[in-house]
Amino acid sequence: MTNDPYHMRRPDLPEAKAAVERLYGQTSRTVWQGLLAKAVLTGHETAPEAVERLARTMMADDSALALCGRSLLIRLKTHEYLLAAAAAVTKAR
Amino acid sequence: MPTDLEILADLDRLTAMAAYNLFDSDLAVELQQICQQSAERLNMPMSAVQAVLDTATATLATNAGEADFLSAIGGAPNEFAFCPRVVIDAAPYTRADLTKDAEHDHNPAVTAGLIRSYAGVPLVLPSGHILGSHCVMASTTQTFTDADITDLSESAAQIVKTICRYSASPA
Repeated sequence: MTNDPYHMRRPDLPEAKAAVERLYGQTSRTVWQGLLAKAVLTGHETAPEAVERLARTMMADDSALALCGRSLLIRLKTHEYLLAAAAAVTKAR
Repeated sequence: MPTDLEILADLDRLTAMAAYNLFDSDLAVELQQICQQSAERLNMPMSAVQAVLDTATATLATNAGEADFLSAIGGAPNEFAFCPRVVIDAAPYTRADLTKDAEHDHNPAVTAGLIRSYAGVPLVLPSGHILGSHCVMASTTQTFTDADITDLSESAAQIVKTICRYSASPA
């Protein structure tokens, strides 16, 4: 069974970092390091729980960053949903 | 010319959106009523208010409250959503049959038979930035008229007025 249902990759920390870089450009490094510190992450974690923790840390912000955090969380939840749906379809076959 | 992602991830647009409490539960109740009106007036089973973020589209309200597949996850990735096209083109977007549309025929909501037709209009903030879309959807084919788009646009104006009462930092 695929881990990329409907060709959707599971969101990871590099995807989150890319979102921060798009938003803040040259100043993104400081924002990213601050986020990792708040979320108590190194930036090298690969578990979905780390991505969710980072997304929720972003959402606690009161700026555009919060909306990017929500995007990340929606993407994470959708991936989980589609993965479960794909597993159910495979099992039914 | 900016890419689609550059338009959606524009810092000015997202900052303008962050000036409102978009996920306030009272706001959701008010928006749900407008969605119900739109669904009834256009005779469509589904209506929604969607905030298009950088890489995902967040569902602010639907006519079904929290009882539909959109609300279950809180939205959809932009590659699986229809409303980003409204923001990118800054114009109404209609599709009578998404199963015959190369951009959307692989969409899980389309392949699963949940959504087959779509009409959405922009939600334009007082700053001029487009927050997202007010839309109607159905699991059947549907042709939309100019009158439908006018109707939906009137509701969109009402939605923006409502959202503006939920400023994140009241004056």
